[in-house]
Parts: sequence; C-alpha cells; structure tokens
Amino acid sequence: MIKLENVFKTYTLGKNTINAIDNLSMEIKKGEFVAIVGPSGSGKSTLLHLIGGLDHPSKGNVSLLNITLAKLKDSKLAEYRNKHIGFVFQNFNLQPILTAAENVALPLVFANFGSKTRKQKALQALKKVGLDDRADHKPAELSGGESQRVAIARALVNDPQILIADEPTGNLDSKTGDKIMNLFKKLNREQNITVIIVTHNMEDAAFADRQIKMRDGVILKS
Amino acid sequence: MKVIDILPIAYRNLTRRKTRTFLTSFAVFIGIFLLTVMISLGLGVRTWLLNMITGQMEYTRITVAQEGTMSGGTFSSMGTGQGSLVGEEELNKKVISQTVVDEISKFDHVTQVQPMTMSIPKSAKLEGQEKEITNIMGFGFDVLESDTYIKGVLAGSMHNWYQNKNNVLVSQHFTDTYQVNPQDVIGKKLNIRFAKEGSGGMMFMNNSGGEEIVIEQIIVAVIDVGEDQLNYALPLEKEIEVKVSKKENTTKEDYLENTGYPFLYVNTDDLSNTKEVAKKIKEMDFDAITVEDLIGMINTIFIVIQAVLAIFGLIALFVASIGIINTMIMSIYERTKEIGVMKAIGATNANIRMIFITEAGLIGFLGGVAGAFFGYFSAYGLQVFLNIYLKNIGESSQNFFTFPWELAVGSIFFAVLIGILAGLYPASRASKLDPIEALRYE
Ligand SMILES: Nc1ncnc2c1ncn2[C@@H]1O[C@H](COP(=O)(O)OP(=O)(O)O)[C@@H](O)[C@H]1O
Ligand SMILES: [Mg+2]
Repeated sequence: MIKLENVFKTYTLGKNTINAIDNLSMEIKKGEFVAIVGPSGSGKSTLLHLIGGLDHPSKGNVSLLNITLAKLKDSKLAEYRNKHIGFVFQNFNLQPILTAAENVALPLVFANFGSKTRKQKALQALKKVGLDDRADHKPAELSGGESQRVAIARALVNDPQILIADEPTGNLDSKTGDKIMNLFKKLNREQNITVIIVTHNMEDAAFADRQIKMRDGVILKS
Repeated sequence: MKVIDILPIAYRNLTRRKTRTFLTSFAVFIGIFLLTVMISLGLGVRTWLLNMITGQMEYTRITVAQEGTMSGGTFSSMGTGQGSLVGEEELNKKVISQTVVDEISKFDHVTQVQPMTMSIPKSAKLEGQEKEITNIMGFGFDVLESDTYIKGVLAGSMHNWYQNKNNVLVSQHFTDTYQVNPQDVIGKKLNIRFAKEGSGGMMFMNNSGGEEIVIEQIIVAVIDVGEDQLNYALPLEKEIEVKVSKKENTTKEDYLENTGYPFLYVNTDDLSNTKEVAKKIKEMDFDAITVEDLIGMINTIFIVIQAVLAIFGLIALFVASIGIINTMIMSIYERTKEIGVMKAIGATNANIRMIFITEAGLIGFLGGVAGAFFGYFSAYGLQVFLNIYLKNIGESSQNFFTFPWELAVGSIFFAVLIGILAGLYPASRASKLDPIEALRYE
C-alpha cells in the first residue's frame, strides 16, 4: 500500500550535503501498525513527511495506494492529504480560536462539505476518541491528552486510510501517552486504519506490529 | 472551500488581536469617512445649485449679455444683474442695441426675444407709508405670469400688466421690507426717485444733492422671485423712458442704439435648437449662455472639486492599505505554524490565499461600514449645523444633504476592495510557505 523505492532526501547547507533519507526502500501493508524509532536527526520526521505527501523526495519514488506522489500537482497532493492521510503532531497544533468540533471539522472545510455535514462528521469523529462531550470547548480549556485526542479526531474526520503521527506522546505524561497509544491500537484493530508513528519511547513502540529502526537516513532493522 | 465557510473563522482570527485589527481598520475608516463626506457634500451642493439655477430658468432659454460679462465664474451675478451693470459702462464692447434685438428675433427657432434692463433708484416710497426705502433694485421687462422667472403671484394679477406704462410689480422682498401683507399693497401708488446722471457721474451713486426724476406707478401684483434680489419691476418701455430722461441730450432711439440693453432672454422653440441659436449669437460677439452650459459649467467645477477632495480620501486609503499589508504580514509570521498545519490537513495554496484575502477584505469591510455610517451622520450633522447658522443670520434653510444608498454601498465595496488588494501580496506569501518549514516554525 505504501511503497518507497530508492528514496533520497538531500539537504544542501553551504558546501555540505546531508542525506536525511539515504537510498531508502520499504513497504508498509494496509492495516499495519508501524513504529519508526531511532535517535534524533536520523530522518524519522523526513520519512513521515515523504509518506504523507508533504514533502518531495530528491530522488526515488514514493507511491501510496498505487499512486506515484511525484506525479501529483500541489493542489492534487493537498486533496490527497485531505482525503487519505490523517496527520497527528507532537504539539497537537489545534487552532486556539476554534472549538474542538470546529478544529475537527477544519479538513472538511477544505473538502467542500456543507456546514451541516461538517458538524455531523466532526461529532462522529469526536465520539470515536471519546470526547463528544467536549465539542464546544476551546483548546485552552482542554488537557494535553484531550487536546491530542481532538487532534486525532481531526485526523480521522475524513475517514483516511493512513494515520501518521510524529511523536504523538512527546508532550504527554506516560499514563496519558499510554491512553493515546491504546487509542491508536483500537483504531488500527477496529477500523483497519494503517497507523505509522514516530517515537523515542520504547513502550510506545511496543504497541506496534512492526518497528522500523533508523539511523542516518537508512533503515537499520525492520 | 467557500468564502462563507471561512468568514466566521476570519472574523475570529481578527478578534485574536483586537487592538491591532481596530487600528488597522481605523485607517480604512478615516479614508472611507473622508471620501463619503466629501462626495456627499459635493453631490448635495451641486444638486442644490443646479436646482436653484434650473428652477429659475427655462430650458429653451438663452441668456445673452455683452461679451465678457458672463464668462468664467461671474454667471452667478447674472441673476441679480450686477454683471450687466458693468457691461453698461463698457465702451469698446458691442452693445445689445435694438438692431441686435431685431436681428436675433429673425433667427430660425427663436420664438421670443425678451430685453431686460436694470436700475438702482435712490429710493422708493409706498403710498400711506412714512418710510422711504433705499438699497433697492428694479428690473424692466415684459415677462408674463407663466415665465419661470416668476415663482408665484402672491397678490393681484399680472394679466397684461406691462401694457400699461404706469403699472409696477413688487416682489416679496418689497412687502417684507415694509412689513405689509401683499394683499394690502395692490392698487397703492409707488413713488420711485432716480438720480439724474451728471456729466461723468455714476448713475447709481446716491447723490442727494443732484437733480431727480420721480415716477409714480400703481402696484398691480406682488410676485415671488425666490432668491433673486429684485424689489420691483417696471414695464420695459417705462424703464427705457426713465433711463433716457436720466441722461441729457439723448433720444430713446439713440439710447437703444448706443447703450442698448444689458441683457436679453432669447426663447427658442425646442431644447435641441438652443445650442445652435446660442452659437449664432456668440458669433455676433455676445455672451450667450444656455441652461445646458450652466449645468455643464457647474458639473465641471464640481468634478474638479470632488476629485481634489476625493484625492485626500484616496491618500488616506492608500496609507490604510499599507497598514493592512503590514498587519497581514505580521499575522502570517505569527501563524506560520498554523498555515503548515492547514496545509498538512489538506488546504491547497489557493485555500490559504483565500483565507488571508478574506481576512484582509474583512478589515476593509469593518472600516468601510464604520466609515460610511459615520460619514452619513457627519454629512447630516453638517447640514443641521449649517441650517442652524443660516437661521441665526436670518436666511432660509437649504437642503445640501445628499447621501444616496449607492454612495454607502459603493464606499463599503470600495473599502472591501482596498482590503482585498492589500491582502493579495501577504496572502500569496502565506500560500507559498513550505509546509515542512512552516510546521517546524515556532
Ligand atoms: N530543512 C532542512 N535543512 C537542512 N537540513 C535538514 C532540514 N530538515 C531536516 N534536516 C536534517 O535532516 C536530518 C533528519 O531530520 P529529521 O527527519 O527531522 O530527523 P528526526 O525526525 O529523526 O529527528 C537531520 O540531520 C536534520 O538536521
Ligand atoms: Mg522529528
């Protein structure tokens, strides 16, 4: 379902060139729960961005659902992210002026849904993460764990096939982090969503079916 | 994505920085406020002026005077005849003699030529009153009751009034000065005293020592002449007689050929022919002004005035748009990460552009609505204050206030447009942000 073939991502800083991703090939199957682990700077985030269609490889080929991402225009790529990918960030990245439900509904605004459908779908998504009673709260009124669950609801709202999370527990205490990981596990098992998370935490990584260890832009062990 | 979906979000984003939003749209407010007040005043004064002038003149009428008397801005003095007074004393200019009158009468499309004279007597006295009134002015003409010059007959009858040389019309100014009812002066005698012109003496100098001509007339009607300064009107023939007898060694024929009339009203059969007739009269080296010319002149003057005033508003709006650009760029710096998130969850570059353009347009809208609103009330307030002032100095109130809805709607649209234009550059910058960089931004 997700396929990377000889992918490079090269950054040039002055005279130095860094291969953040260095001739990487791999495959992730539908319904898999994958944890990417590795030290800081090993290229985990870069890899997630490439898979999520936020970034273009310098060389090589990334394809999702049999679509070669490099062939898509920027606007098509945005539509692709909107429909098929759900992003979850370490800092939750909710919009402070919007309520939980409005934050969750934001991807639907870009997908041209009417306001009624948006409301319905947002509430459904909030229910999936167990926060439908917090629909009208602003992010400032939510705890860290609740904020991350709202962010997951936002990632889920458009029924994507792939959830991508970059250190989703990084800003949470271990108990709350566990709850979030359990939520990912549940979504993966019950809805067959492909989940890819990046983590430093070995306990978090243990939730995954498969661990991918990275260092200096290459996969050490998978 | 529709604008309607992002409007509430745009509004809430603006309320995140209330002071900044207020200050930015305040600049728009100032610009729109200036613009609307200026345009409203311009329109109002122009409408008032046009009404005043066209209300006093027939559309098919051409006013003819000696060359140079009605050029430029002096047309306003024409109604009171002061412009033509100067003309009477000019020597090198071609005079409007009886020959000229007869010649113009024979033009195609000319239905009537109405010579007018004007004089300022030493004084006048109404039968049964002690007081002699001075500082008055009279016309000599043979106009009918139906003429637009006459706004209404307040008492008596104008029927064939000028066919009797001993008749006289008085205006509402006359009865006001004497503080009598118009009805009470009908049939009364009016004595008018003129100073006889000495050699080289000015005819309207109030020289009490010199010789005098006194005429006694019967008042047959009181007429309303609106804003015009006229106090009385004599039949043209009588006026000419007085003018002839004021001068020494002059016959009526000599007078009409050498001094002539200060001005003429030339009536034409149709509006479409007025221009052509006026052109022919101008070719005879006289000033000839049609109502169309007057309207054109007034419109030209007001276009210039309004343009100058509007430039101030436009400068204010230009400054305002720089403010909007600045605010939007600051906002984009603050919300870089947010832009990255929106791109990650599926916003296209066009979506991001639209979001920021909407915000900029909304800043314009807020300033525009406030500006149009306060502009309306200020223009109205000015009108009220002006009329209080006019009342205090004993003048009748005037309606300068014009604020068509198109002005309100147009200025708000304009404000939104300014906002949108100012938002284009920042919005395009926001839309081009690299999502990875934006997400990394703290
Ligand atoms: N925009 C960039 N410019 C230069 N180097 C970059 C840029 N983004 C990432 N890198 C480099 O690429 C490598 C991988 O970064 P990243 O994927 O963020 O690592 P991780 O998420 O595993 O900590 C690092 O060495 C980082 O410094
Ligand atoms: Mg990282």
